Amino acid sequence: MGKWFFWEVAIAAVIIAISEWKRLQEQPGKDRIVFLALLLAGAVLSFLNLPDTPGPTSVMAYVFKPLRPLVEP
Amino acid sequence: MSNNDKMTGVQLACVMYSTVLGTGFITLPTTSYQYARNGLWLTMFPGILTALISMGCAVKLSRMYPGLSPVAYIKRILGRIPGFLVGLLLFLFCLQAAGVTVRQYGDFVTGSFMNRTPLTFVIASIALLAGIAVRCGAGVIARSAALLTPIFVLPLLLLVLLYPHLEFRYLFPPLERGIVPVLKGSLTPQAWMSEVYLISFFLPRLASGVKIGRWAVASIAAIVASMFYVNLFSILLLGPDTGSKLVTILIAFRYINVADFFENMEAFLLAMWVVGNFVKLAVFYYAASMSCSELFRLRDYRLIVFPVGILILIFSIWDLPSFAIVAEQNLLVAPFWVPTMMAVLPGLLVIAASIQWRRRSLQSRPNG
Repeated sequence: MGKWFFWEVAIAAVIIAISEWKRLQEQPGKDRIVFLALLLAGAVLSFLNLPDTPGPTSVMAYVFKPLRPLVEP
Repeated sequence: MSNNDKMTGVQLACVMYSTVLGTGFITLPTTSYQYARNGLWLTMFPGILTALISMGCAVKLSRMYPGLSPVAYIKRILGRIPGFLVGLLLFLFCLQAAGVTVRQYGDFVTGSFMNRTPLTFVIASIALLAGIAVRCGAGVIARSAALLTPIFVLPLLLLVLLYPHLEFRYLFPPLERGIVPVLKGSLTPQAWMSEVYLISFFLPRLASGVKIGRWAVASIAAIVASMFYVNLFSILLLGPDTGSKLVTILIAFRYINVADFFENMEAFLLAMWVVGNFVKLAVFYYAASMSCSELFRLRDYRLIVFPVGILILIFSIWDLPSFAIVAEQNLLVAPFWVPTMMAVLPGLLVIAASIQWRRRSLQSRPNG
């Protein structure tokens, strides 16, 4: 993964923003905010060292820990 | 919505089939074998119950709230704030499931075929393709599913060529350790089969007069039959080695050799599985985009399709450092997490909605 991932995501985000610009102008304010928030969330998350950052996998492993004895071989 | 966006029954069945088996063929035989051993061929059957529950809830809810997609009726059933929170959970589930789906596909492709291609490239290219399909609408996903599912199923027929290598003694003794290992082995398949609930994102687009029940049962039967067939061939060919293989069907395909001429069939397998995974990813991607759009009541979901795609890319690598962790996730967490969202949650929604309907009909009845 490495440091390039952030730049890959950033470039993709810029391309998406440019290509959707025209459509974005026609939408109400809330739609624009959600669009930008999603793009920004992606860009910010890609800044982290994602594979080793605790996230959804750790949360679910914690939540379903009590059920684990059922499935451990 | 234009008229050609309406789905037919065949398209519905094809979408369900690929949604369950897109990654199912890659993951399920190895995962189930860990518990079930030579009872592997039985592991699909308990999943029928979960699939029927998920499917029944999806159909029931779509009849109670015609034309509404899941997050919209969740909000209506649970009220504004709880509905928003549960809808958000569903959105995150779809994102995460799409991420894991595309990751399994990426690991399969880079691990078995294109060893030097970066994982990000494999993942991003199929995500872009699925994104374009999602942006074009449910009709395009449904039509591509109907078009591509036969191609996706076709390579399975080639397994028959393995007949001379099959060893029926691997099936014996049947159920040597009782039924419990088989039930444990069926936990992951039933999680996969509960994903048929995602069809509820497509039901509002269904043409009127389609007999949903008949097509749903047909596709569930097809899913069980295909998985039974694949599991049976895995165990008959590989026996005790099944559990140590990453993708058992791939190994089976490498075995195929007819008259020293028909060899290297696994290239077909890759080409054909790309389309199955594409449909599966597109379905999850569409569900995630629709959930997000309904959550914030956007005017047009198409605007957010590509930003959601970036989040799917992020979820495909976030907290998943290696394939081993993905496999562990499938073994230990997915058997509970997926049915919770795809069978238990819809079940609770049906109960809550029925209570509401009954109360409303009592209130509207004139007193005395």
